[in-house]
Amino acid sequence: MNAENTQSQMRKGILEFCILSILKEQEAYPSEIIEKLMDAKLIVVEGTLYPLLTRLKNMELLTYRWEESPSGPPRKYFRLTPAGELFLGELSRTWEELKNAVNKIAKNV
Amino acid sequence: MKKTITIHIKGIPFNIEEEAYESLQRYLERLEQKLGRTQGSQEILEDIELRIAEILSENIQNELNQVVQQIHIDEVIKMMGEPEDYIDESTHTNESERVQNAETVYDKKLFRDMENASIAGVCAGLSQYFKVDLILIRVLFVLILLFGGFALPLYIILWIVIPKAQSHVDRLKMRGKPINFETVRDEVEAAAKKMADQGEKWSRNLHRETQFQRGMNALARVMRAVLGIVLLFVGISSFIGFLTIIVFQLNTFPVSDEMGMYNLYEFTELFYGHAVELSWAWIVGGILASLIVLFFIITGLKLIFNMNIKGNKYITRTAIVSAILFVILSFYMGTRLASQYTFQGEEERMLTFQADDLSIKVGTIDTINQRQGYEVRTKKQRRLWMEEKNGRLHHPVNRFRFEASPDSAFHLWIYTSSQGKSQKIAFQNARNIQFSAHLKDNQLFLADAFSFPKQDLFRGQDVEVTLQIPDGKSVNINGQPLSLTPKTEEIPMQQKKKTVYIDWEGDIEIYD
Repeated sequence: MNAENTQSQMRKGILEFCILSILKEQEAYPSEIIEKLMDAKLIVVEGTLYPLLTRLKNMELLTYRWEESPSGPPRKYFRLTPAGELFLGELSRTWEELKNAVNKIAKNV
Repeated sequence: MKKTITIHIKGIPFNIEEEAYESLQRYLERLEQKLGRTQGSQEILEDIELRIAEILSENIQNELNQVVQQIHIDEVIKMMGEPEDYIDESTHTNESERVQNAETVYDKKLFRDMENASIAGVCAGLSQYFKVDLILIRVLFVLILLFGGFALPLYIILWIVIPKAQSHVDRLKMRGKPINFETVRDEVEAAAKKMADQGEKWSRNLHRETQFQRGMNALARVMRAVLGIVLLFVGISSFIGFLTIIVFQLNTFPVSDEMGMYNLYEFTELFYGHAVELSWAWIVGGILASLIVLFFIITGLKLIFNMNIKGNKYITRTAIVSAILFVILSFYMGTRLASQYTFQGEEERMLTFQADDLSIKVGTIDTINQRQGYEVRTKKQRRLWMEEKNGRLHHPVNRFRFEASPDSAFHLWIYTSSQGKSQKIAFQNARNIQFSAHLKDNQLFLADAFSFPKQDLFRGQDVEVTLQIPDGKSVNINGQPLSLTPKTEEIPMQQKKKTVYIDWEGDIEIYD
């Protein structure tokens, strides 16, 4: 197993967590989510987002509605479902635990 | 100047340079291949197309001519990333998803194939559906157009009714392949090979929509809606029509008795003597009427609202079983009825007489006034198919034939004919036909109707009346002189015929 693969696996899990966190604040369409993720340097190319959004939607953690855009094609506005909020709560707890654990262990390395 | 074409990405029209279009198309193809076996691939693809449309429309706003160029596509690909960079199987699929996905089977469906279209893709779609060579179907269409001419309306109707294949899944359905591991692998391999072989030509044809096709599609949508409204209207009005005829027993059939016109029940009684058969005929007719109404209404709604009306499996199965039963039943009823008409019986009656200046009166002979001489009364208003009077059905004779006599006497021929389920019955039916002709002095009275007993039922009874007129005798019909062509040596006597058609008004027209 090389580092690249591990990194991509780690990033993927964290990405889902981040997408859900962004949508917790307010509903958003893909470009807005992408902007925030790019600012945080979490993703490099936009394409990454779409499979994740579809996957989260199929898991019924997200839902969406269509809205006309003043320019260009209509937009899909995503938001959390109640199940999504529960899921995010659990992820947050896990994240806190992991962060503490990693900080503790990684410092000692 | 570079060649540009117009394409639609998610409903947004773009003018795009051919080169740029091809590279965009290749990108989407790569993405589709990469996504091929993952769950929700169609949705991911659509989302990405949506985003591409958004990026492109933002980026070309500042351009002078608003044409999408290669640099815009490069930019898009840079932003979105190569499919290999962001699609990887572990992202989506655990084993259970794979299994589920492998079982996704698309039923074969008829679409218009815009990839290979020359007009609207009807022929191309048919060729995909029936797995017949496209050239063959086009040739067939042209042949029908040349010889019959109904190919044109047929094409237009198919154009309206068949949806065009818009998405990639539509195209797979059109080709009728189930989507699973094997077919996707085949698909990818075939696509790769094709790309290598004739990539340039192939991708240029994909997704292309010319100005003409766009206009025609708009026209087709309008025609769909109009056709839908017409069908819906026909459906609803025939529903109301059937309902009033059956429920209210309206007297609407062109047969009358003392009580007025016949209703549906009395009308069908003319064909089916047996009560059991009559009820079966009613059931078959009722189902047929409902099917027609349903067909019109459902097709109309589908066309107007572009709806996809699907029943569940149970309803579909019931419908199929009842359709089969219905076909068997109507076939049985049809043959039963047809068997009543298999034999033909004829009878011939002849009256030979002498007269000088014969005047012929055609009309309904009123028997009450017979003692004071035959009085002919022509019913001007009679436009009915049949009339019932004293247990007999009266049917108009609307054709009298006049021809040259072979000798010096008048001959009046009355041929009666009828059908029946046996030779004997057919003969009997023909014999039961009455037709009134009366000769008094130099006057011949011919009835304009014949009659037969009601219990014989309608078995195609008919009467043909021919009067042979000797050479040199003058004749008039209802006051109008009738003259046959004078005898000449070249023309044999028997060929000189004139047929007089007497219409409902009692007016006479003479034809050669």
